[in-house]
Amino acid sequence: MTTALFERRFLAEAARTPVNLLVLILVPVVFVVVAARPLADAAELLGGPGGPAAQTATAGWAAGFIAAIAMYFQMRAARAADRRLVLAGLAPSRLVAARMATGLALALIATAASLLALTARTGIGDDPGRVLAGTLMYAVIYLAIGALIGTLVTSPVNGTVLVLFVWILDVFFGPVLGAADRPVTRVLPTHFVTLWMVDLPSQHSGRIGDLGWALTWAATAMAISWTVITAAGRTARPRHRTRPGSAAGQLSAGVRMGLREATRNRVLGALLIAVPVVFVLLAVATTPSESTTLTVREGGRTLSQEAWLPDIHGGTMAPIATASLTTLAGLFTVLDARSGDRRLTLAGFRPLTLLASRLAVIALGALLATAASLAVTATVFDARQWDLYIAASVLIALTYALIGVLLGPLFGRVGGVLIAFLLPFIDLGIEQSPMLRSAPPGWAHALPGYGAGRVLIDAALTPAFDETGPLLIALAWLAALITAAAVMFRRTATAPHH
Amino acid sequence: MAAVGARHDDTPPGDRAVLAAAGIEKTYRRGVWPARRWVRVLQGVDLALAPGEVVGLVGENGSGKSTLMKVLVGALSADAGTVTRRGRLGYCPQEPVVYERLTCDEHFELFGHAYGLTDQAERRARRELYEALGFERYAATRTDRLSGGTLSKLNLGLALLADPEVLLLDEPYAGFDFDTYLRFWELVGERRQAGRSVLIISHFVTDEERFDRIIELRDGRAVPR
Repeated sequence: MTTALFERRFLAEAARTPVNLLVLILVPVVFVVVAARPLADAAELLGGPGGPAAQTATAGWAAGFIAAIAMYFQMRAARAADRRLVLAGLAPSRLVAARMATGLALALIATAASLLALTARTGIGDDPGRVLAGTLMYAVIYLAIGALIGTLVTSPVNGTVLVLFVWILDVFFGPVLGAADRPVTRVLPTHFVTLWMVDLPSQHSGRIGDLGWALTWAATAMAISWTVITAAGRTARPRHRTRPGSAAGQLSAGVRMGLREATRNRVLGALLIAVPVVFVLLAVATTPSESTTLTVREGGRTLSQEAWLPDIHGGTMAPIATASLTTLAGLFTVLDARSGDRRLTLAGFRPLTLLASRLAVIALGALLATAASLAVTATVFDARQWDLYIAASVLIALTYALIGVLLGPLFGRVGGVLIAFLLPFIDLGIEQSPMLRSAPPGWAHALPGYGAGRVLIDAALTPAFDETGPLLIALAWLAALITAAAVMFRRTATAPHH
Repeated sequence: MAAVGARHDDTPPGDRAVLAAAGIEKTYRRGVWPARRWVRVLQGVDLALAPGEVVGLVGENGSGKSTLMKVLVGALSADAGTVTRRGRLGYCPQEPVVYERLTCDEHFELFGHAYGLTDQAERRARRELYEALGFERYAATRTDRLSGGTLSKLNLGLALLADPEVLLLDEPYAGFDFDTYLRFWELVGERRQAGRSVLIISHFVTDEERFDRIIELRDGRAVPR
């Protein structure tokens, strides 16, 4: 009874943030509807089975990601209050059961949304029970990943980047998007679940079978969740926790302090470097030896160009990783500093000077991630126009960092993170990707990555610059986002609440 | 930055008031339609603070003390009424509002630039505050590694840094030990001697003699106690 009561209360707490519920449904639906078909095509290109199998798997991927993020934020937000509950006499086992049940309920909402979207989009296949059970196993496994990261990583930006990192590795190098028989990818959390769910026998599961391994993963995940949530409740200790100055002085102090604060978040610094590096190298390592056809502009004409996949894959994957990272960095830099910034402006700090300081710090983070990504890309890929390729990469990173700045005040932490995951992925990973279609569809011209994405491809594959129009579109996006960020910042960091 | 209907300028309505609030009203909206309801917190608060005056603002939990403080500071807009003030304002929020990964020194430096202090004046004021509140040894410690009491000292210190004409302190001594509590009152006494005005919110007042007067928020209005 107590457990059920606590679960109800925890769910009510989640429901009182309407944007959370919205994204729990919206993100999986958009992901499945938009990403299913392109990912199926990508899967075929990358040596995976493609077709309905890949489309079915998107439901699991969406449910898994949402489950991990929901569980991560539950663990972080409720840590202190949960400890007080245990100190007040609540049995830790009841608390753990309530937390897990809450996470599972949230994951079920995402699962239902994913499956309904899948049914409407492509149909759920011949064996709906298998798809349902597989999607649930995804959610359970990712609940554990969210709980584990929630226990180990305090900073939301680091935690969500880690969740994103695990998810990207799991999806992109899993058996549906890549080949199913590589020994190195068999250890990925949902390797066997995916194979069983899309009915693609692995041939390497031994006596226990793919379903056996999938259930073992799910059971182990439940055990891990139970252990880490109990440990968090038991061992965690409470944390000790006129005339304004000249604009130049404030700007200098703002940037200096912002940089000190950012450099003290060493985990984020390491992630900004490590995530793109690992992502690009793994992308290259798992690319099949095949060629593909791309549409490029050269000498004012649109041409179809044959390209060897291993040569270009690394160069086209790098911006996805940097854009996702810089979106999160922009989002959390502004959100974490929000209450302090409000106090600082009340004390006399110029709002636009403060925004300039914040943007300078975010831009440096974006440059760091881009530099790491480009350094490793240079070892596996040779752009035809390196200077332009670097400029386009920086443009993508800055554009998405500014989008992150806007997402925080608009959608809050959880909603912002989910959209920060969805938008760069759909924009750069799917719609602008030269790997999946020869040219972006008409509607994708309106996405923020279109202009810079075209310039990037032009720089990567052709000897001369031919994309003036898209470059101007990219610069217009940058200018519009800076203006929007300034308006938003004035409203949220300085204006009174109503 | 100014509250709705506020006039943060140099023309106070009263002859001596450094801070004056007239007819402040505030209602919060709760829930969503059709279960929406309105909670009236402030229903026409009038308040004035003369130079060199130390005033206590008391009231039951939920009586609207912090809401009024935020309106006076300009952090929250009132539905009706005006706020006027002269000179610089120092604000100490109830919950310490700081940057987690910056040290105490770095906070003082940053807020010094916000207040427009010269480097020299800021360092002098910082030294005096460390000494007065006794937390100099934590000068280079990040705020996420400070104890609750030391964090409260920093929270207060940031409000006092520029020696503002008006000090608005929301439960400033909640986390202090007794020695620090006494030192806090010494600091307030010095400010009073220098002609500064102080408004202190507390949900209960133990040392009434330390205040020049005490105002109680009751039924959304300010009444003398």
